[in-house]
Amino acid sequence: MKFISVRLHIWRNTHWEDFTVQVSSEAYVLDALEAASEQDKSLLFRHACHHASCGSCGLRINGRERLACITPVKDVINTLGMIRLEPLRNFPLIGDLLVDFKPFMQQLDRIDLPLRRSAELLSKEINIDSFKRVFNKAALDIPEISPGFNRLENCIECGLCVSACPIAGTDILYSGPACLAAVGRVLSEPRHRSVMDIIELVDNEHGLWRCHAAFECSEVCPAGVDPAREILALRSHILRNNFKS
Amino acid sequence: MKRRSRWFEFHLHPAGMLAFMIHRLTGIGLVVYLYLHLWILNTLRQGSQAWDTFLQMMRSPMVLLLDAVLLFGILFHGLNGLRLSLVGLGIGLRWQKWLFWGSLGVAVCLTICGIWIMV
Repeated sequence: MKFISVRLHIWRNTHWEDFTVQVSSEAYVLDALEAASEQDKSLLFRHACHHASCGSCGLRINGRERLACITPVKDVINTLGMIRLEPLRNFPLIGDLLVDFKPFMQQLDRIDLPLRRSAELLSKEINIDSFKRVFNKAALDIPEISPGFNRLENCIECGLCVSACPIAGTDILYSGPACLAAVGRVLSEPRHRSVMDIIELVDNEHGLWRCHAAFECSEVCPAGVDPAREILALRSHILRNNFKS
Repeated sequence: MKRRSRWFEFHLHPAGMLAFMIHRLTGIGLVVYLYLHLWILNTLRQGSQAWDTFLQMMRSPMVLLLDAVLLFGILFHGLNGLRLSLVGLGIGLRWQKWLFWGSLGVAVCLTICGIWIMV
């Protein structure tokens, strides 16, 4: 196995600090970061699954939002053998590379996006009756797959979209792409819930109407979700409803 | 807790941040210009001599350069504003990147034409 030397240039609260580590040429940035933490146990960062399921290891790697666990070192290392690592933007900073997700998660909780696996609903062979039986949700009214059905339920809540969004950088109260897109998703399948309460959460100057369509959220999403499209579709939906009423 | 936030950052790909950045800067610039314009018009109240002196100053190359910047700001902000209005209503989402580069390209071309006319 071939090993390479990597210099991790890491933001540490008030200053940049360099860690030189040896990792496999096939290693991912998270592997290099774990090697760096062996040198300094006080280095703060979050990770869990190592395969882009948990969304814990989101970082700004060389200035772009990525998941450290699926970003190969060889793809981001520069000619000087260096990789720049920063915490996600637009989140309260706990320390080093660790940010506080609590406000973000609380917003998503309020919207109450039902979590389902894409395989359960995206497949044409889906058996709705068996789904209801297995999950004991007889009252659920799961519609046929609509043409506009996207992969929003695949959101891994990694926060990369919030970090990349320039609006989130200018308005601390902004709901953020993940939250707004979740509202759009809930509206497309409300399951007998009153959608007005959910719409009220985002139909204001810090919510839906604050988005300036920079599309950075969709560009950085590691799960293939397209929050920008969902936000703009939601905006059209609310506009149409307002005109009708 | 402290947040690290920034809306001013240059990168061409993806271009969303660039579009937002230029739109915001031109917007701020146009608001500043509006007040500057009102202040300039105020010189009319000081008589014809003050106005003639002001017009003489406006013919300097530096002011013409600022005029070109102003023209670009108006053109880009207007065109990109149209793009944002369209995509905001769900129209042309698929071509939004091209609409941005198109707005930028048209604004640059028309600014060059404007400079040619002014000079």
